[in-house]
Amino acid sequence: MRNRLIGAAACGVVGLAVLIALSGRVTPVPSAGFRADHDESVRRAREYAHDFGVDTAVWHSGSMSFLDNRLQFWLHRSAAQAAPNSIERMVTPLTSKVGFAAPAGSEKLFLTLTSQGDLLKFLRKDATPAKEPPPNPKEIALHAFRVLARDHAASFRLTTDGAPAPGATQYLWEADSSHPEDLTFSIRVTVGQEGLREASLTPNLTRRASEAFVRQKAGEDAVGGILLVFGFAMVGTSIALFAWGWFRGTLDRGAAIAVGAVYFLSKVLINVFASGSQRYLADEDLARFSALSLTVELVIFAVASMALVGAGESLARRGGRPCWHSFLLLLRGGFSFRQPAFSIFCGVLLGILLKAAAQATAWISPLFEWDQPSLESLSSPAPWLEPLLPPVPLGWLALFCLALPMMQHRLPLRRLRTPLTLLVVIVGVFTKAPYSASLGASALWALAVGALCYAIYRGWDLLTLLSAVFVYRLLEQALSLSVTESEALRFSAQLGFVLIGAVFVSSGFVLWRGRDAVLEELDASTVEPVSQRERLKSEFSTAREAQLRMLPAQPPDIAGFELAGMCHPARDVGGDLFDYARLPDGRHVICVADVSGKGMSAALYMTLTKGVLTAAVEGSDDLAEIAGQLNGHIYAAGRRRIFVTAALGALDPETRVMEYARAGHNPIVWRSPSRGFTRLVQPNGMGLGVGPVAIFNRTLELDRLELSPGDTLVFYSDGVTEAMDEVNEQFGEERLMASVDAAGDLPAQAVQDKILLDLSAFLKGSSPQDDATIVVLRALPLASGVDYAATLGENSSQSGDGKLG
Amino acid sequence: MLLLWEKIPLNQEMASLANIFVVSRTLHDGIPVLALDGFLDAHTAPNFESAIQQEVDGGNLRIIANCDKLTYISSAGLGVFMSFIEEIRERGGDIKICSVQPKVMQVFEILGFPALFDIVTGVSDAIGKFQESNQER
Repeated sequence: MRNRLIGAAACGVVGLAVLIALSGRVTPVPSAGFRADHDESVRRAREYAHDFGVDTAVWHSGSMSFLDNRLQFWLHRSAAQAAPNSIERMVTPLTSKVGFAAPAGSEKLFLTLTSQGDLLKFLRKDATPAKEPPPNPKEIALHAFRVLARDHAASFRLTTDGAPAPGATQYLWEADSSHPEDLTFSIRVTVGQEGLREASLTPNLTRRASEAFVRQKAGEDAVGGILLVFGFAMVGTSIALFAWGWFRGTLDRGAAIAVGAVYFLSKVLINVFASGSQRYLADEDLARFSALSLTVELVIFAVASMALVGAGESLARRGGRPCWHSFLLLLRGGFSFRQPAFSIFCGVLLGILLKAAAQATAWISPLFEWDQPSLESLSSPAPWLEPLLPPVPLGWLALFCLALPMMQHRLPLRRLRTPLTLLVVIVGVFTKAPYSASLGASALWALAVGALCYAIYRGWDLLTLLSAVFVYRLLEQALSLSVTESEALRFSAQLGFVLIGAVFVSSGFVLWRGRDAVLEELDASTVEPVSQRERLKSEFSTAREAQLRMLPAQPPDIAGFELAGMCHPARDVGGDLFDYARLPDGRHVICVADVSGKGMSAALYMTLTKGVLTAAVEGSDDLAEIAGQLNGHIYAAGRRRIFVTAALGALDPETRVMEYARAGHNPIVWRSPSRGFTRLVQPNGMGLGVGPVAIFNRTLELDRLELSPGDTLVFYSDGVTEAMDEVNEQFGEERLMASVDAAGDLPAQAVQDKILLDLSAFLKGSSPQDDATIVVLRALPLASGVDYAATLGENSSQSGDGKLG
Repeated sequence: MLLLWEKIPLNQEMASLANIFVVSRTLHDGIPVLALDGFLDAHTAPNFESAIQQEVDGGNLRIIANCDKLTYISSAGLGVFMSFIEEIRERGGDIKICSVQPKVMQVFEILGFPALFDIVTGVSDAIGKFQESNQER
C-alpha cells in the first residue's frame, strides 16, 4: 500500500509538472474565446428575435452547442494565414443554437449564434401568417442581411433578388473568402407572409477543401464501424451475462443496482438541472421527441450500467477479485473505510498524469480537439454539473468494468492475456480519442492513455482507474472552460478544480483517519457464493485447527499398556471426540464420543462434551456418575435434538481391569488372544442427551473387563463401521473385527493403521462420509523372561522397552 | 445507506437424490400410522418432522411410526423421535414404534431407545399398547 501510494504521488507530481510545462504550448482549443454560454446566447437570441419582430419574452427556451468538424479542420490548417479581421472570422466552428417555443400553439423559433454571440441563422416555424403579406419584403430582407453580414457587407453581392418561393420571397448574397478556392459565404434570406421566415449566413467549403477531411473521416469511420460492432457485441454479451448471473445469483446484485441507481439518478439530474432537456427545445429534429424518448433513454442508461458492472463483477470473480474490492465496498456505502479512500486518493493523482500524458501527445502530434470541451457543458445552464453526471461515462464504464475484466481474468490463453487486454483497452480508448488532423495522432493519444489506464488497473485497482478517469475528464473540462470568455463557464472551470481538490483532500483525510475495512467487510462486498464459500472455508479451516488441538496430541504413558488414537473429520470440523484423562483414584479414562449430526453444530457440542467430561472426571471416581453428569448437561443443552454417544473406559493399569460404560455408543471390540475370542462388548446404556436423568441412570450398566496381557480393545465411532462403499454396503462390525484379528499382535498404532488400511481398501479410495475415530488400547504382552510384577515396577519409559517393535 | 440489499444465501449442498424417503399416513382405529419408507437421514428428517408436527397440530397425540420399510436411520432421524416424545407425553400422548427391521433395530438398541420408547412387532401390537394404556386410565 505504501509503495503504491508513493508511486501514485510521484505520478501526480510528474503529471502536474508536465501540465504546467505544456500550458500554452499546445494548439489552441476550439473553446478559446467562447462567449456564447447558455445565458448569454439566450439573451442575445431574444434581442435578435425582437429586432426581427418576434417577442419571445414569455417563450420557453433551450440552448445547445454544435461543433462543425469540417470547418474546424479547415480553419486549423489555414489558421496561420487568417488575419484577425478577415472574413473567415465571421464564422466559428463552435456555434450555439437557441430554440424558443411559444407558450401556446406550435410556433417555434431557432437562432444560431457564433461562439462570439453573433447571429448565423434565424428560422421561424409554424408562425401564424398575417392577413396580408408585408408591403416591403425587400426592406425586411436587407435588414436581416445587414445584421448577418456585419462589417463585411461590402464583400457580399446580391445574386438572387426576390425569387419566388412557396408563400415567400427569397434573396441571396454571396462573398468570397481570402481562400476563395476553399471557402465562400452565402447569405440567404426568405421573407414570408408572416414577415422574416429564415435568414442564414453559411460558410461553403469546397470539395477541394473538404477532401483531406473526408479522407481522414473515412478512415475514422471505418475504425468506428468496427468498434461499433465490437461495442454492440460487448453490450449484448454483458446483458446476457448479467441476466444469467442475476437469476443464478452468482453476481453482486446490490453493486449492480447501486451503479444502475447512480447512473439513473445522474441522468435524471442532468435532465432537470443541466443541458439534457434543453436539447429537445433547441434542436429542430429532436423537438418532436417527447418525454417518452427521455424515459426510454433513462431506462436504457440504468439497465446498461447495471448490466456492465454486474457482468464485469461476475467475470472478475475468478482471479480479479482484489481489483474490485474497494469499488464494491464504496458501492455498499463504505465511505469511511480506508481502502476506497486509498483508491480514490491514488486515482486523483493518477488522473493528473493521465491528463498530462494526453496533453503530451497533443504537443508531439497536433490534435486540434485535444481539449475538447463537452458541447453540453458549453450550452448548459449548469455547466459544472455536466462532467460530473455521470461520474464516468457509460463508454468508459463498458471498457473498464466489462471488457477489461473479461480479457484480463477470463481469457483462456493466459500468456496472451496481458498483450490482448492491453490491445483491447487501447482500441477502446481510441474511440474516445479527440479529433485529429491524422489518424496517427489519435492513435498515439490512445496508446498513451490506454496503456496508462491498463497500468492503473493492474498496479492499483478498478476504483483507482475510475477515479483517474473521472479526474481526467474533469480536468479536461476545467482546462477547456477556463480559456473561454464567459464568466459562468470560467466559474465552472474553477469549481472543477476546487472539486478535484476537495476529492483529493477528503479521500486523503479518510485515508489518514479512517478505519480499515476488516476481512468480513471486504468480503461482504463479495457476497457471491463462490467467494462466500471460500471465506467459510477459511473460517472452517481455522475451526478445524482449533478442534484438532482439543484432541490429545500424545497418548499418556500407561505402564503395561500402549495407546493410539486418531480422529478424521469427514468435513472441516466434526462431531467426533476422543480424550484421555485421569480419575482422582489414578485410573486412566479413555473416551470416544460422537455427536449426532455433522459439521459446525456437531463441532460445538463436541466442545461442550469435552468441557463437561474434563470437569466431571475431576470430581468423581465413579464412571456411572460421570456418565450421568454428561447426560444431564447434554440433555439440558441439546433440547432433545442433539445427542452424544460415548464409550467410556476407566483402566486400572495395576489390576488390568477396565471398567466400561457404553452411553448409546457403538460397542467396543475386545480381542483376547489368550482367551481366544474377538467380540463386541455391549452393555446397556442410552445415548447422552437422549432421555431424562432417571431413565438414563436406570438403564446404564457398567461392565468390568479383566484384560490379559496381549489383549486389544478398539474404541471407534460409527463413521468407521457405517462407512459405505459405492453400492451402499457398510464396512460393518464384522470387517472391523476381522481387521483387528488380522493385525494380530502388532502394536496399538499398527492395529489402528491396519483398520484404516482395510477401511480405505473397502471404500476404494473415496473418503468416509462421516467422522471416523479410532482409539486402540493394547495390554502389552509379557516379554519373555521378564516377570510381570517386575514390569509393573519399572517406570514408563523403561516399560517402553517391553513393547514389540 | 446502500447496505440494505439482500445477502445471497450460501448454496445449500445438493441433497443426495439417490436416497429417497417417503412418509405415508393411514388411520387404524382412529390412530394415525406414519409409515416410513427408505432412508431417514439429515436430508430427509425434516419430512418426517413435519409429518409428526402435523399430527400434533391436529391434536393427534397418539402416533404410530411403522418402520417396516425404513432401511436406514441416522442420528438426525433419531433426533426427530427424541424431539417430540417429551412434549407428546406431557400432553398425555405417545409415539409407538413398530415393525423395525433388524439393522434399524440395532441402531435403536445401541442408542438405548427401547428404554425410552415402546418398540413392538406390528401395527396391531402398537394399537393394542394404546388400548392398554386407555384401560389403565
